[in-house]
Amino acid sequence: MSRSVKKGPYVHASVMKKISAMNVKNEKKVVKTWSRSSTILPSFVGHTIAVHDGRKHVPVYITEDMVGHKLGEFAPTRTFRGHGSKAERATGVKK
Amino acid sequence: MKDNLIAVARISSAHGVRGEVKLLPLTDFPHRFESTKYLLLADGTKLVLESARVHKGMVLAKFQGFDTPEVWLDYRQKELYVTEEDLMPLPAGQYYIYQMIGLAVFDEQGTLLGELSDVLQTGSNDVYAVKLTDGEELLIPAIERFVKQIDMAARKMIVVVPEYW
Repeated sequence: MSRSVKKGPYVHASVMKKISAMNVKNEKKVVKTWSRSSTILPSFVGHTIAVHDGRKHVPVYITEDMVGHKLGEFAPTRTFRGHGSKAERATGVKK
Repeated sequence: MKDNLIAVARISSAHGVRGEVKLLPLTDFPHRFESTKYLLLADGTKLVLESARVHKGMVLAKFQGFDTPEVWLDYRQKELYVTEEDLMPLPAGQYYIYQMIGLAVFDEQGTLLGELSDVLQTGSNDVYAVKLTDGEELLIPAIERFVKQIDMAARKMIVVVPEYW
């Protein structure tokens, strides 16, 4: 059964408080959270949230297309390292 | 031989009865197989590609001389490679992860923080794991605000250390 619409999306109080405070002051710090089940709201866009993966806080930059998803979806709890060979995987800095 | 090779796929299983094989792509460019002429095994054996197509996240490939499903039994779970010269060209500002591992990481004041030990690929931005000189691990999100410069020629990277709250 899905969550009641009346309640609105679930966001942990501490995450909401910190993001709101930063939006008022127009600040951009990295917010540490253990709340993987918090929903990403439009007010989070442009912020970086460090989501706990069970071992460390993985910094995740929030973009518009992530709204409505949960924070935990972007910090995988299982890391498969492959079998050690070099693979054709690329990385780059997100604008 | 294997040290100079870059993995692009892992052999999964035979597909159909005409000698096609299912490959798990280990590359960010699964469509590369449609134009690749040959792939290499770890010992350097050349496998000539006749055709390839992407199907449900896997690649179905046909290699020259492999005409029955049984021939693939000895190859299951083996990786297929290309040489560095055959890597797909990347747009400016993009680098292969294996080339970035080991970059010296400095902060904006020029202090050496450590070296890049891993790149985590999350659903959003990539995250650079830096092994600090004291042995600790620092995670830097790969976004413009934190990664100021990547200089592959000088093998160094300049970052802003994130301020956590």
